[in-house]
Order: sequence, then structure tokens, then C-alpha cells
Amino acid sequence: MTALSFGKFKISCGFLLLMAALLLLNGTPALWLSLLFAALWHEAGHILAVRQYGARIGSVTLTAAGAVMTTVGLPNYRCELFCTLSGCIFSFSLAVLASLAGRAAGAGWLYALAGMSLVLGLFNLLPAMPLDGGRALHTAVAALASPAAAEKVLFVTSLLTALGILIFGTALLLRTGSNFTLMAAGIYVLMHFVSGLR
Amino acid sequence: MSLNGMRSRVFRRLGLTRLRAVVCCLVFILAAAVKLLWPSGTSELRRFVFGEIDENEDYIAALSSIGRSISSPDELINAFSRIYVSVFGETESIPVHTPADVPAIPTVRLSAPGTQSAEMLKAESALVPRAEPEPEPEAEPEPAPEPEPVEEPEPVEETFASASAPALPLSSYVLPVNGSVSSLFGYREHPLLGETLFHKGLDIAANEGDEVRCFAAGYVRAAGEHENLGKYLIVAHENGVETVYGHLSEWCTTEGSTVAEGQKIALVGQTGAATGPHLHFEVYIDGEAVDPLPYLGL
Repeated sequence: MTALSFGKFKISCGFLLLMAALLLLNGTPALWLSLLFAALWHEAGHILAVRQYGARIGSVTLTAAGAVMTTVGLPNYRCELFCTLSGCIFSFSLAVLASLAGRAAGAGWLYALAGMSLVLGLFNLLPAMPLDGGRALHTAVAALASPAAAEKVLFVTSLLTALGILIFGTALLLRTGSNFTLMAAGIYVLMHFVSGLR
Repeated sequence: MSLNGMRSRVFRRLGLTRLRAVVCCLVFILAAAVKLLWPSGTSELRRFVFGEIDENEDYIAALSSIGRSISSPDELINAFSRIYVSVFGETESIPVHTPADVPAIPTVRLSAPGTQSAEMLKAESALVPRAEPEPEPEAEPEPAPEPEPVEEPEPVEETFASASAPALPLSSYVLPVNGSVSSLFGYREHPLLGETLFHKGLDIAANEGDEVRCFAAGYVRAAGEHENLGKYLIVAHENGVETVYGHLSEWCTTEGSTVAEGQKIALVGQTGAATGPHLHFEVYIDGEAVDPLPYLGL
């Protein structure tokens, strides 16, 4: 799926298409600029945490649904859990900082960035597999029980999450006639689930 | 061998992986080029995909209200109602026009006989405080409680948005309806967009069946019905100016017709998400919503 590759940093085809669609369909740069910045900030959280443990980054790939990162040499489950959650911790900090800065400066775009960052962080905490919440849950169950149990738990939570988002997404699309963002997110999680079955 | 592995081997053998990467890059570069070189094309495309009533900016509005509420928990409930309003696609965020909604703004009586030009109006109309109360929302079609607008800490930008109003590239234009302003354009200035969010138009309270006059000469680009905007008309004028008329009770023209300045194009109503008869009026210059108030001679 990789379209461009700069050493460890890769960009997927889906990401390019998503950016193209946002460029064409969104009349203002505010949305995709804040999305891009919030996503990069989120990844910076992961990378800094991994660095702190002296582990190596295998690769960072920007995909349509956020960045996917592989790491090499994290010492234990606790470190892995911390590194997984650090992205969301960074996102929430950015949300608070940008909101406070927006209040101080009276700048509307900072509020948009804060909101984007918060939504990104919350969405990533959903317990479905490609997302941080799913990875964290996987790590936690693997540490407490066994990796096999983690697979089973994630199988259930990923499916339920995907179906939940799809149901809400469909309702939203039917209700508005144009808002397909949630639906697309649900399809993404479901696609990941299905590809994991093979 | 897994299906994925087989697929990627086939792709590699045919050189499709490379081809797909090149195509995706080209699409992205093309999109960026179109966006930079031909911005009107992208707004056409947006219109084609999302329909005539574009609710795209409401994503930013929704995100902004979330972001705003983070640093002020008091606004949380307001924010959630606003998210509901904007995510679920209401073009008008405050359809309820009670006097309490617009406390800081002097209500102004608009009156223009026939097709008087806005310049003449400007000289005539003084800020006369209205004597009678706002039309009370009678027989609410949707009793869902609407959020009270949040008092913004910087109301100055809001009330003086007209000071920085861009000049309208039209030779002359008229007041679309006689009435009183019941809801102003926007919540606040968005610095990145350079425009106000949420309420993309101006509401002018009038009586049901009052005639709606065409703002300026042009042609009717669209006449349709929208969940929130009700029966609406979009008129395209010269030099990229467009006006939108919402909550109409009846159309007096058809899509594609040429209309003259001041021509009766519709009747005031309360179709869509409205709680009283009024005209929802939007002005766009090159696809950007602008505050209509400065052009109405006030």
C-alpha cells in the first residue's frame, strides 16, 4: 500500500487519496491543516515515548486513518502500553493547550485544532485493533493473561466497535444525507477486522 | 499462502504496486494543482458532491465548539448542543428568535418601498428601536429546545464585522424584504477562514406571505427544499455574487429563470427549521459567505 517512502517514513496510497479528497472537497484549509497537525503531534507522542525507552522505530506509515508505527526492542508490556497510550496523552495535552491558547489569543483556529486533537485522541482510544485503544487493550490482556487471550478479546471488541461505529455512521448519513465521516471510519475498522481474519 | 500474500505477489509481478503508487501521487498533485489554480472548480465539485446547501464548514464549527469547551467546562453543555446542531447539519444554528437571543444588538426596522437601492436606504434608515416584540414562536413544528447562544468573550468582532465588509461587486442591489433583523450573521470571526461560522446568513422577521424581492439581477441557480432551510432559492448574480433565500412559503420563479433586481421571487414563510415567519438571507462572494447586513443599508 506504500506509495512514497523516505527511509523509515512512509506514506500510503490511501493517505494521498484522502488528502486529495480533502483538498478538493473542503473549501477551507483549516480542516485538513488541523487534521494533519493533530495527527503529526499524536505520532510525536508515540515516537518520543519509544525513544525514551531506547527502542527503535521500525517505520512510520501515514495511512488514511492515521499513522501506523512499528517499533523494535521495547523491553516489556508496561513500556509498550505506555508508548501506545502516549499518542493519546499527547493529543489530549494539545487539545487543552490549544484551547487555553485560543482563549488567551481569541483565535478561532486554535479552538478548531483543540477540538480536532481531542476527537482524534478519543477516536484512537476505541478498543478496536488498528487503533491505539485496541493495541493498549491487547497489550494489557497479553500481560495479564496470555497473548492468545488478547487475540480473542480483541476479536470481540474490534467487531463490536466496528459494528457500533457503522450503525451510528449509517444513522448519521441517513439523517444528514452528506455526512459520511463516521461511516467511513466504521468501514475502515471493519476492513481491518476482516483482513485480520485471513 | 495467505490471500494477502498472493495478491501482493501478483501485484508485484504485474508492476501494479508501482503503478498504483504513481497514480495516487498524481491524483494528489492534481488535486493540489486544481485547488491552487482553479479554486472555483473545487467549489463546483463540492457543490456537486454535497448538494447546494454546503454544510462542510460546520465540521470546523463543531470542532471549534469542542475545542472551546475544553478550557471552559461551563460551555460543555452548550458545546454538545452545538455539536448536535452542526454535526447533524443545521445550516441555521439558532432558529429560535426570541428577544433574549440578541440582547446586545439594537433591533432595526427595515423598510424599503419597492426596488429602492441600498444606497438610498442607507441615508434613510436610522437605528430605530422596535416597539413591538419579536414574533413569538407560535405553533412550533419542532419543539426540540434549541441551545441559547453562548455569550462570546469578544463580542466586538461580531458586532463590527461590518466594518471590514468586502465591497460587493455589484452595481446596485435592493433590500430583499421589509422587516426587522431577528438574528445576525455568525457567532464570531474565524481568523483562518476570515468569516463567521454557524449562522451563515441574516434573519429578517417578516409576515407570512410578504414578498421577497431579488437582491440584484441574475438567474435562479437553484430552487429546492432543504430539511433546515425549508424552501429556498439560490440566485447567481454577476461577479461571483450569490444570494440564498430560505424558509420561503412559495416560490414565484423557477430554476433557471432570469430575474431582475427587485423582482418578486418568493413569499416569506417558515418552512424548514423555523419557528416563525422570516427570511433567511445569505450572501456569498466567490463561494465565501459574507455578512449581508452591511449591504442592506444599515
